[in-house]
Amino acid sequence: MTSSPIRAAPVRLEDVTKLFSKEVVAVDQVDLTVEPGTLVTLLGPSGCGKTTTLRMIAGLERATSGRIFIDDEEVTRLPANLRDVTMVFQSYALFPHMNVFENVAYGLQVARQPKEAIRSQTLEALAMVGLEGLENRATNALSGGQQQRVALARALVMQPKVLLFDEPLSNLDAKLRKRVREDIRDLQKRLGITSVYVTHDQEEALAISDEIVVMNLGRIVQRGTPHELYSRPATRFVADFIGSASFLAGHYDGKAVTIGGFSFPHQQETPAGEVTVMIRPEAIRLSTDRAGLETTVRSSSYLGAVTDFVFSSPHGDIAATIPGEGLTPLLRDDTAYLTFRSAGIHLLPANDRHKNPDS
Amino acid sequence: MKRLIGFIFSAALLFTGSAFAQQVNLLCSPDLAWCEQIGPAFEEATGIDLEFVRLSSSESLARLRAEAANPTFDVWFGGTGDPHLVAFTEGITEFYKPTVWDDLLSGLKNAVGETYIPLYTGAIGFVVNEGILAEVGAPVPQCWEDLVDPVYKGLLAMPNPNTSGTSYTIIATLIQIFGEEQAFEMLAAIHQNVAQYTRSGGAVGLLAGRGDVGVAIQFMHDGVKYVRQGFPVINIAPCEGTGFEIGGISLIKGAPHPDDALAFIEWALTPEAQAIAAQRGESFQVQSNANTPVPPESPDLSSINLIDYDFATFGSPEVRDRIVAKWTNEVFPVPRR
Amino acid sequence: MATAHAVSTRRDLRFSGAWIPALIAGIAFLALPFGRPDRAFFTLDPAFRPWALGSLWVWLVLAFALLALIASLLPLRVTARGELLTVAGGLGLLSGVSWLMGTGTPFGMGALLSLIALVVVTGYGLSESGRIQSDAFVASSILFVSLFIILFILFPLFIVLRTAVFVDGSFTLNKVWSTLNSPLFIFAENPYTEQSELALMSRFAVIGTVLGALWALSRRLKFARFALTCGVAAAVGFFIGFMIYGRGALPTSLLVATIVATVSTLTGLVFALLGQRTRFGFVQRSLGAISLLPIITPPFILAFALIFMFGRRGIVTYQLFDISSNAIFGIVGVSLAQILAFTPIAYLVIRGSVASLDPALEEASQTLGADRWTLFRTVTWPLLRPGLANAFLLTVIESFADFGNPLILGGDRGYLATEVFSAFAARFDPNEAAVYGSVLLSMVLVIFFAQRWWLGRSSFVTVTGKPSSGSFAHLPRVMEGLLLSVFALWTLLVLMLYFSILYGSFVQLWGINNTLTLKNYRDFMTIGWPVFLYTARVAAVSAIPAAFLGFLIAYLVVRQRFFGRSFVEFGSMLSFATPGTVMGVAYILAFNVGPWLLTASSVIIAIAFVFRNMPVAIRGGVAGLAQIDPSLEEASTTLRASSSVTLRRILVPLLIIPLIGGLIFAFVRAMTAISQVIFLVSPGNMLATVLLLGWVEQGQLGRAAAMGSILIVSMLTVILLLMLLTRRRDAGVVGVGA
Repeated sequence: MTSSPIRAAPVRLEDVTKLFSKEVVAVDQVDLTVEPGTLVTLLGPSGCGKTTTLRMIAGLERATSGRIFIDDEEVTRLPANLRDVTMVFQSYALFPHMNVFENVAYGLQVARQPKEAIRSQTLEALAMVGLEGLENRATNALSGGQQQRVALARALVMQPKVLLFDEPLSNLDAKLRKRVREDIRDLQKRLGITSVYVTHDQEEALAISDEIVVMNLGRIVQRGTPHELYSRPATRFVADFIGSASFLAGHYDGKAVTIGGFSFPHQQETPAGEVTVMIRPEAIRLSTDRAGLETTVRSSSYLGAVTDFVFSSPHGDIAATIPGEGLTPLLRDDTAYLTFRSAGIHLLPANDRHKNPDS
Repeated sequence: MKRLIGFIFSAALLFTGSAFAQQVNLLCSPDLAWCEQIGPAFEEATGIDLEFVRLSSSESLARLRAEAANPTFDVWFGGTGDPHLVAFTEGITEFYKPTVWDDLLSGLKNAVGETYIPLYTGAIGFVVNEGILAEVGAPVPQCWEDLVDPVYKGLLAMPNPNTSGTSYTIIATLIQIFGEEQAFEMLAAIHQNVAQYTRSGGAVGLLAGRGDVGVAIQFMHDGVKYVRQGFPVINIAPCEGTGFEIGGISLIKGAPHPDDALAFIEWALTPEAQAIAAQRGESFQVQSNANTPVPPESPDLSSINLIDYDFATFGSPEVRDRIVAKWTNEVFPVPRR
Repeated sequence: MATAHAVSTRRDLRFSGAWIPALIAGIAFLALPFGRPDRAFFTLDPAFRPWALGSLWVWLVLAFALLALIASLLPLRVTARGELLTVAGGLGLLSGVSWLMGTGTPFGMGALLSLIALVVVTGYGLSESGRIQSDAFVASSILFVSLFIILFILFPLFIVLRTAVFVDGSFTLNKVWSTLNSPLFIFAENPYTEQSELALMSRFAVIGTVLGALWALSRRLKFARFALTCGVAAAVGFFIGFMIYGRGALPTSLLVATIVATVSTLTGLVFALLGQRTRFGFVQRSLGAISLLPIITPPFILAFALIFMFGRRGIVTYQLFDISSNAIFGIVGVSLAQILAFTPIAYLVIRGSVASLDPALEEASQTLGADRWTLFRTVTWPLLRPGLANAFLLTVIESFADFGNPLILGGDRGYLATEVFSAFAARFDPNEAAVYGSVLLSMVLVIFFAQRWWLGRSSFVTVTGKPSSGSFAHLPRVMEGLLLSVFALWTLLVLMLYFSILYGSFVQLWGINNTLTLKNYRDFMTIGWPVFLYTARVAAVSAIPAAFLGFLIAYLVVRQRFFGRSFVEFGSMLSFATPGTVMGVAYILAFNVGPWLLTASSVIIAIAFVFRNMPVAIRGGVAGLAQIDPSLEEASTTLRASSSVTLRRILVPLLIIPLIGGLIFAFVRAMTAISQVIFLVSPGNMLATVLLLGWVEQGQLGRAAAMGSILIVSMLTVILLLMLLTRRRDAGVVGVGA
């Protein structure tokens, strides 16, 4: 496999819109570029249009307007079976009347490859996903993780220009999910294959992606590397959807942020004035000397390495994750003074009322 | 897609019509048993295939009218004469003078002229199941006028003139004996007694034989069949006199196999072919060829009071359609008391 | 994977696959006669070669085929070429069809082949232009299916409607008026009765009004609703009076349909309740067998046996009870025969809704202290009502459409379905037959749409009747005893009738001479056997396209989104609902002359079978597809498979059981059909049921019984083989609406 690099191809969507009916807009004027060889995740709550976007790239849905390019060639109206794109489905979609080998070999057989080539390529693909020796098994005799690997092998064996994943891990249990997603990422990097990955699980998205595209209500809200999205979310929706955060009303004067009476230094290119302050839980430290934002403890849960707190303040509740047990054991209704590390702080426009529908 | 076309093509091939073969398509109106015997005998005699559909004579006329633009049949064999005359008048059939024309009974030829070829003759009568009548104390009817008696309520059966030539002959007979007005009054009264109108003229005797009714009005030679099959029935010739048919054979105009059609007509009029009716076809009409032996079972026509049936009038399309429509609209729908 | 680009999956898009059908269209046009002079299809008559036709118009077909050929080979943009191919294929098709229809020339081999090829060209065009969002196979299939529905369902029915109002080429409502005014249709006032029937009907209307008013008073309705209720009640009352006192085909058919539907629905309910909740296992098992009977029995066989059991000399009436009456001829006999024939259908429909009752519901209400009667009244009954309504309406439709039973047992009355037949086949009045047909069709459609509107999409067409698991409360003992006696009576009657047919096939002369003989079977072998074989051949040949077309339509309707999908659904629904006699008249009117001349051939019979039985296969396909995850097909598609490959390699293997089921049911239904094909038989194309009907009418009873027995036994064998194959306890579900 490594001996035959797949020519990685870019994917480009220009102003793509999909209407399911006159009222139902599934995807709304989406522009998107996926660089060759990268893995881009479409992330968002259910109904945000991410799966529809993926299916339009696959050709399983047709865009109502706009244009789609794969490898700089327009494919907007090209049927799915003529695009060099394969897909891994949420339900695995293994053919129940075929065994493992037949499933993986299916695409090659449809393409009328010589028998020998089919055999060697199929076995190679199975080896690649770690399923050597299972080729004669019935698919329903495999575990969920193995079934998903068969689906992956079946998609890879076609050496597609683009590989698509539609929530491939959502049917697996938590532990397995972590392992399979690492395997997927490894393979994708090793093969350098352009991939588009759809999930609603932000942790999965953060772990696997070169780049994340956050979608909501059919539109792209923000795109960037996992780090960018986490540390500099453009909207409260993104901040809330990726990781967790507390939002307090505050004032920014160009150098420092003031919440209530408490000020702390922060640098960000944003106009001075009223702002919404996003605070990541891990950015919060307990002050030992009353220098900090005065709050009371609403609740605390001891989790071993860290303790989760919720503090309440006149400006809003604040969730915090604090390593160790803290200097003083804090009880409910105790007063606590909080300070913030600049790395976990991001300022949003004060009027961003955009709520995450899931929260 | 190629497979689909391939399938359509092979399905079409499966149905390669026998259009090229030597064949006669026969529209057969006499008793089914006779129709069934004709094909094998004809094929044996001439080597020509024969396919038939059996339809009652009025139905046959309807079918021939429907297909006039594009006939599928070559020959219309048997059935009462009036519809044959109608078909000739309407140009659906054409007259053909067979080589045995001189051998045919001259009475029959004179009655119909050169319109269709007479095939057989027989008279209308009653097929009576005495046991059933005895049950309700009804006498065996001897005359047409007896049938209007309410004592026969639910005990009569006759064919429907819409489908059956026999039935039309019955109605035409009544009109010729009693005049149209009185005839329809009688038909209305008879209607009150009829339990079932059948599609085919030959079938009513079965109802009498089985005992569903006591009296079936039909051709007496058909009654003979039921007697011979073992049904407890007898044949009665009405006292006022009765009508008769001159069953015909006609060449369809525009027949798809004209040569074979003529070969069939020639064959069908030979004494050997006509004898099949009584020997194997359970049909006991008097055949038209004078050389055909009269079956011993046949009702003796010379002892029956036959009316002077006006074939020309009652074989004209206008008269026929008018009478059938009149019966259909004025007699048939009226509920029983 | 050393051969990286060996998997060159991209089909070369520089030219279009449409060149093959375009070429075929051109060659067929030039090489074969475009028309034909008469019924002989495989003619090479030079007078019908395109250049002998003396028409420039017809050459447009070739011109557009050539345009399509050139377009498919030119290096154009895919979508632009698609539009071009669509236009060329469509216009070529249009010019060919318009020439045929304009001149009235029957289509020839050349026309058939080139027009089919042009449909495929158009399919390529629609797919490539993106107007149909799928590949050429699906696009062509959609076109073919739509054209089939137009040509073989809508067009004939349109001809019926047109014939009703166009007499001798000019528009007139006279025929409609005179037919509807004819005493054959409605005969309200009986001159032989003392009282006036109309007065009696009005009396019913008055009673209805009073009852309606009482009900409205008890509900304290406002004036407008009060008046409405009274009006409806008066109309219903008058309608009931009309059915009882009116004569003529319309009130008679209505009365029989009402009686049959009521009794069949109730009996069906008895069976369904017993099937699920009886304490006796053998009753449940025998219900499975009973549900098969209507499918394997030619519809009029029971009528024929009824005469022998209940006629004036019937074994039961005369020999057992010493009754000498032929009351069996008329409403009583027709109703009885239809009840016996349609109760199993009602049972199958009701069983679906009985099976969908949730035992948990009943357990819940039992824990709340409800006794079994209360339980039945408050929980079970409301849940059953839609199923009962479905069964009732379906039986009404079946009763309207039934043709064989009234023909044999009708007595002195006319029925709508038989009037269609006698107007056409006996009086040869196509206009009158068309009027009757339109009336019958519109009544059935009104019921059908009322049902859809009332009960939503869960109509009887889509009843699947999946048995649910879970233990049900047994019936109350008194009730079970009552139901069991109904069941026992019914079973006894049916067994007696079937036995009498079998017995009758072995005696010399049924009812008169009971000597045992094999003569009837000998007669059957010489005369009936070739017809039986021919029927089996046509039924088998037509079952294949019926099953596959039904399957394809199910696939298109369920899995594809395209313009006109509801049209395809509507069309196939129409062919399901249309009474057979109406379709028979429609076919003989539409295909006897002119461009689509097909009558007097096996082809027309096979086509009739295909479109009559296709809806059964559609239902099987829809139910099967519902159980298959669509992402299987999408996976196959993304793995480069075209939709035809996906159908062949994924869906057909996964749905092979319903497919074979559809095949066998199409075969069995074709073997036992009569009402439509009785119009279509011709010399050499005789069918077993039509011959059988003739034998019954002509008194060849022994033979008829022999043929009936052989039909029933062979159909039973086929069905049992199917059940063995599918390992299902009963196969009745697929046969609903036989």
